[in-house]
Amino acid sequence: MAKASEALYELDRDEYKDDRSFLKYFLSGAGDYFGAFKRWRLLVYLANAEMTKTYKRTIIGPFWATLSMGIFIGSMGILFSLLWHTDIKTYLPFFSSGYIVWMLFSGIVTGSCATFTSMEGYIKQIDLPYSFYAFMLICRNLIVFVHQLSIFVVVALVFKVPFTVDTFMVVPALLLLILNCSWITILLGVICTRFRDMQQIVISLLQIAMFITPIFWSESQLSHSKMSFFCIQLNPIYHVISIVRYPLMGEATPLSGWLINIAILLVGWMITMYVLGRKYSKLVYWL
Amino acid sequence: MKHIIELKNISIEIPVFDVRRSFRQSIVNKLGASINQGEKKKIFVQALKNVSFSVSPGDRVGVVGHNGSGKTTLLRLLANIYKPTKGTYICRGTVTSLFSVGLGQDADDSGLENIKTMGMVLGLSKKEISQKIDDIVEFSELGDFIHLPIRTYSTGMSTRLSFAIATSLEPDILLMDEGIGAGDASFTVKAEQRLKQFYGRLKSLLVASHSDNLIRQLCNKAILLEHGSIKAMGGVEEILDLYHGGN
Repeated sequence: MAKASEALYELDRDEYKDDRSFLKYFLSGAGDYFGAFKRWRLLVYLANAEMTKTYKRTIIGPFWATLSMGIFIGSMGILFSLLWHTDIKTYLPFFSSGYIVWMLFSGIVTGSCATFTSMEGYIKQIDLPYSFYAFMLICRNLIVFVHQLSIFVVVALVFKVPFTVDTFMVVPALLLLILNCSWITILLGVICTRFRDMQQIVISLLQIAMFITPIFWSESQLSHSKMSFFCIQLNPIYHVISIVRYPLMGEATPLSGWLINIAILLVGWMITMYVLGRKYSKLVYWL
Repeated sequence: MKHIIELKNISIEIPVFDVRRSFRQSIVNKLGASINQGEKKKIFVQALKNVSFSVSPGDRVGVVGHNGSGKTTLLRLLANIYKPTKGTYICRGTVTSLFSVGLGQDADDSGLENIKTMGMVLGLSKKEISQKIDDIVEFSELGDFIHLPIRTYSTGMSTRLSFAIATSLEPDILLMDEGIGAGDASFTVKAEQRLKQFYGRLKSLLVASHSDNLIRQLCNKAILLEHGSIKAMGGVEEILDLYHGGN
């Protein structure tokens, strides 16, 4: 812990302001973001170490989580297809692909609240870009995701999900999802470090989002009501998730899906870089 | 000669948050409730106040002062962890901070894996680590234990390992909070030699310590901090006298 002098004193907030421009803050944030990429060797090493660690002292390691998720997907898939009288052959691949991508997304968002607070030990010891800790969180979740993906592979093989040219689009789609997650992680990380209540808010919002977003139910079930416009077209989480789900299902992602994702990325990333730059010098004191 | 470290009028103010200053309060403030006008003031701890000094290559600076005088804050600033609230900090060279030698350590990993992880975290490249690893293993006298999880090590063994890793670094500028502990007695003669070589490679050293002996051994200059500002800077004996005289 920082040893501070005993003298507490009050300072007017206005005195604390400095007069830097938007661009300067933005560049300072972007500098941190790209600076973190320069440390990719350390990132790869730590991710790799983390991966081997999860296998240590257990027989199937991270596959325990996969197993429990597989059981969940299997039972829910059967239950919902019975409830809604839909064909399990179409429902289960749809549900499993969406749910796995959702778990990646929600895992990252949930973890992002503690991006910086959980790494306090590191942040107060060594000088690494703040974004580095966000990337570490994403790597950790991606490792889990790769394991969970095996569930979908099994489902796809059993129910003969078509394997087409569009399937390969899963790579750029996943990349876009990760890039979007990268700014979300940093932004939420900064906000949650300052306002500790935010974490609870984010978690409860995520729970609702899971049901509002078409993951358990499909887009067509909501037909063309106002509700569908709200839950699907206006729901950014839907677009972020579905861009990966379409290629997994062997379908082509509509062009609008790509454009919306890129738009979310640009706007979100720019706001995040500004916020990060703006709060750059203060973040460490909030820990 | 150019200074490798320059501090100009640096102040650090660490904001203090309590429950009242949390989310709820900020929202209320934004809503402009007039009752909360008094809350617009923030509480700060002044950790450093108008600190200016510079370090030239070859300087070994000891930082002394009572608890809470700002030693750790100063080191964290130099390590680029704390950003100054006011003032400028210029650093020309690579800084390595050894605040806690166990950073990146994992109890379930073997000694070898830990050498790699800790080395990477401290900023070494894979190539540098593979060059140093034999030396570290040999020096730490761990033998076959190096392949076992460090959970199984005795305290002395893990101290030797961290010591060997820390002293294999080659930074320009080293920042230390207290010295590096070397473990059991039979080890110390060898350790002292290694420490001497290690300190000899440094361009500059800044060490905060409560131990007068450590400061006398390592430093040729000293800074006395008091309530976050520099009370005096000069020769080691002079500063230590002043420090103890003030008691």
